[in-house]
Amino acid sequence: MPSDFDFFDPEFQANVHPHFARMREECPMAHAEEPFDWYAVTREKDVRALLHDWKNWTSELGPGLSRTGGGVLVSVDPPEHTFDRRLVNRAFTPASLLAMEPQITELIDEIIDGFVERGEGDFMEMLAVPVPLIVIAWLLGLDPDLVQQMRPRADAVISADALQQEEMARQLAAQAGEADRSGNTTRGPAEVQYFLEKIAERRAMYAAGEEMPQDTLTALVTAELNGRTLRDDEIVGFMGFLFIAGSATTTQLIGNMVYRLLQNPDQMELAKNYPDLYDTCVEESLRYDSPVNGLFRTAVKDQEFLGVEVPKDTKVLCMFGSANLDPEMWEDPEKFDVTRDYEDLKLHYAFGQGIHYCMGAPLARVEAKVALKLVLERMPNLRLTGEPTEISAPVMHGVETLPVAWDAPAGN
Amino acid sequence: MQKLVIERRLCLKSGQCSYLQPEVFERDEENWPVVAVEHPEGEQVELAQDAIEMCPAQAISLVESDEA
Repeated sequence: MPSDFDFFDPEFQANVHPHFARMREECPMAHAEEPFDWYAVTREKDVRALLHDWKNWTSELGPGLSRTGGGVLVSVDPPEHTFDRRLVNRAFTPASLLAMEPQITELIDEIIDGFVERGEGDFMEMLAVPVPLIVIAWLLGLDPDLVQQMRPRADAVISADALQQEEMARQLAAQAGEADRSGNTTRGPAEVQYFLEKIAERRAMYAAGEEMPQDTLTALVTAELNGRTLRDDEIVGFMGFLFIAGSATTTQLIGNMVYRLLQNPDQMELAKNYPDLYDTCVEESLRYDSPVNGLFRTAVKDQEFLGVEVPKDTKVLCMFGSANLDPEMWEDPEKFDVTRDYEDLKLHYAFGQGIHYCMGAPLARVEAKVALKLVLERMPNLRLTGEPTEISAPVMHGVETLPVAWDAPAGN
Repeated sequence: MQKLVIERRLCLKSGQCSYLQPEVFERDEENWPVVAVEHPEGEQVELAQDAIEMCPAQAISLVESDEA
């Protein structure tokens, strides 16, 4: 049986909207056979059904096509997931993330100061890439400069194919575990060593009763729930996951949003004239161009879905980006419209749905909103100067480069 | 007495409340959360407080109510 679609074809990546539409119509339980058999669901009601049914559709073999167990949060189900989520929730409450808005405003202002006189450049490299990386560095208590140097490694993990990811995850787990047992932190990739050093620093501070920074790393190091604390390799798992989940995704959100506004001048005018619409600009971008095309669930047993017999351990991709364009849920879904009703719009699937709903969503929303506000204020007459290129990681969707120009402030 | 309220305009259907505290919250067929115990008492108040703390949408609250 040939595959119903080719998720890894750059042509598919560049034209997800028509491909999603065809799949919703013709093959709602689409079959793929590279590099092994898997499926994709693309209709809103089916995506929703799978995401809420974690007892039958597990996350324990990871959210990607690769079968990688032993992770945190996004790679576990209750009760492990409940433990992880309670723990991270303390450092990641919506209120504490929203409270970062002034700090994020200051950061984006500074970043814009650094390039605004140039009058042109790649929007992604100048702004959309550094902002989320620096914010996640703050949260994890890491050095922002070092974190920016780690970006190629994170990108490599995201864009690797399933078999490569399985190998990477195995290596990482083995190295972190070994370092944990031996106390020898000089082995393993540079970022694992760096994370372990940071953890050791914090443990020493904690043991000495020193005052700890109020960030996610402190929450992880000091976490205790029902007498259980986290081992070094578990904390490395959290840090690696939060680093990957929290940076590239928000980069895509910021870039995709600005691109669609540039492509739709009437919508750009609305955004410029009505600051009240910033929130819906962010949500409509998330709906129209979901930064993550979708994430996988795995069948816990041989079971049937949409009339298809799915063998145990088979992966099914819940296509968030397609649920977000399903005409059964959305009126005129192919129209990019920043005046949609916010209450309906916020129920898009860009952050997933159900128990794995993205914990960083409030943070991504604040970063994107502040970026939009400052870009409109400080980069007047923003315009495209060429065609953007599409990101190559299959699970991600959006622009990789975004060449723009604007009216630079007059020199002094 | 206290009344447990979910504000649907804020809800993101994360399902945290109904899976963490099924004694107090249920879900309807469209996966919207539904309050199962409108006026929590005793230990139920603690269960409700836990869900309030864990809700990523800050959509749940306990409000003072005159209803008997």
